[in-house]
Amino acid sequence: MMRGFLIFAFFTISTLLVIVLQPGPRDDFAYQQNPQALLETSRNQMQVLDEPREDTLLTIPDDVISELKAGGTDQSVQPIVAPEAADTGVILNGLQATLATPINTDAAVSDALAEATTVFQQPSVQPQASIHAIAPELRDMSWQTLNALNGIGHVSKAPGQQGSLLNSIVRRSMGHVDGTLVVSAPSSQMRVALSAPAVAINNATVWRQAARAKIAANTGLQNYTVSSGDTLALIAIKLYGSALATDQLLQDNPVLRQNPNTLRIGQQLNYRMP
Amino acid sequence: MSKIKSVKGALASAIGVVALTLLLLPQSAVADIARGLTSVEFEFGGQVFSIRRGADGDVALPNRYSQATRTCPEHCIEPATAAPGVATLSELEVFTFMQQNVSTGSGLLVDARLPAEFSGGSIPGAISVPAATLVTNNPYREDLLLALGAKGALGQMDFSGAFDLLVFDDGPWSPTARQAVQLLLDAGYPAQKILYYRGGLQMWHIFGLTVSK
Repeated sequence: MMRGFLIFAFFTISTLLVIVLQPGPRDDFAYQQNPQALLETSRNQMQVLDEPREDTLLTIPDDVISELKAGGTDQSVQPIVAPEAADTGVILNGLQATLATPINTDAAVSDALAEATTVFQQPSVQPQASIHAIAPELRDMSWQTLNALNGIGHVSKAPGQQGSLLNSIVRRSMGHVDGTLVVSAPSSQMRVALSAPAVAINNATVWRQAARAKIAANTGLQNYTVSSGDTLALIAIKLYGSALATDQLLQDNPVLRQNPNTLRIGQQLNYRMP
Repeated sequence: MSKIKSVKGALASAIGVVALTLLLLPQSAVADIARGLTSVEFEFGGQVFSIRRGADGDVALPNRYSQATRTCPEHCIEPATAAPGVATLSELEVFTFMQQNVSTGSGLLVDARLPAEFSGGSIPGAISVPAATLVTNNPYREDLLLALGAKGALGQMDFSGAFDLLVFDDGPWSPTARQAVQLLLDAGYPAQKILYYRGGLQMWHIFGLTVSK
C-alpha cells in the first residue's frame, strides 16, 4: 500500500513538473539574432568587416613610415571644406579628431596607399574630394554602412544602381577610364559644350569622339575604351558591378551583338550609366 | 482500506501541486515593460525581433553605462531637443516607432556610434551610420544619402521617399547623436523625418531591455 502510494505520488509529481516547467530550449533562442548577419556576402557586396587593416600598412615602404612618424605629431587634421557655421566646424574637427588618422595628401604616401588599395588605380590629384585623401577608417565606415543599407531592400540593390556600394566605387574610380569624369547629366552636357570649339573637324577620330560625346549628352550613353586584358564580362563588372550585365552591354553595342568576338583593344563601347 | 488509500493519494497530489507552484515562482524573472505589455515584436530586414525587459536575468550594467562621474566638455548633458523641428522620443514611443515604421519598411533605427561600439551591442534591428560618415568632406556621403532613400544629386536632393530615421547613441551624455542629426539636417534631410532618441543605450541598459549582439 505504501509502495503504491509512493509510486503514484512520484509519477504525479514528475508529470506535473514536466508539464508545468516545460524544460526545453529557452525563449531567447527563438529570437536570437544571427551574429553573422553582417558578415554575409553576396556577389554584389563587399565583406569589409573582416578586412584586417594591418595588411595595407605592410606594403608601405619604410621611408614613408618614418616620414609619417616624423611628421605625425604636429600634423593637424584640416577639413577640406570650410565649415559654414561655428557649430559645424566644431563638429567636423571633433569628429575628425576621433578618427585618429591624419588625412594625408602627400603624393608619396598617397601613391603608397594606391599600391596597397586592392582594386583600383587612381590618379593622385583629382579636382573633387579624392578617395585617397580620406582616412581609410572613414572609407571603411562608409562602405560598411552602405553595405548594411543595401541589405534592407529599399533602394533597388541591382548592381550598378544608384546607391549600391559597387556603383559608388565604380563611379568614383571612373576618372581614369576615359579621361573624362563620369558625372551626372548636367555636368556632362557642360563638358560637351566646352570641348566642342576645340574639335578639329579634319581629324576623323576627334570628330567621332565629339559626336559620341554629343550622343552621350542626349541619350545618356557614355564611352568606354577597351583596354588590354578586358573581356565582356570584365567590362560589365567594371561598369555595372555584375557579369550579368553583359546583355546590357550587347544591347547598347549592336556591333558586338552580331559577333562578340570582335572586341578589340582601343575599341569604343557605349554604355548607359543606370 | 481503499478510503485511506485514496485520501493519501489526494494528499500526495496536493503536496505535489503546492511544491510545483513554489518551484515555479523564481523562474519568471521577466518583468513587464508596461502594464500588460511584456514584449515588443517588430520586423526588420526579414528578421523578427522581440524586445523584452529583464530577459537576461540578473545581469549587471556594463562598465560603460555604470559610470556616474563623467566630465564636460566631452560628455556634457545633452539638451532635450537635438535640433529645431526634430522630435525627441522616449522608450515607449520608440516601441511604437519600431512597430509602425520599422516593421512597415518606412523607418530605420540608426546607431550614430562608431562601428567598434556598435558591434559591442546595440538596439535590436538598428543599423550603424556613424556620425563621422556624414561630414561634408566624405566623398561617400552622397551615396549614403542615396542609400537612405534620397534621390537626385547632391545639392538638389529629393527626400520625399527617404526613410524616417530614429537616431540614437550611447545616451544623454554623448553628443554623437545630436551631431549626426545636425549633419543630416545640413545635408538637406527634412527635420520631420528625423527623430532623436535621447535615452540611447544608457537608458536601454538601465531598463534591462534586449540588446543585440
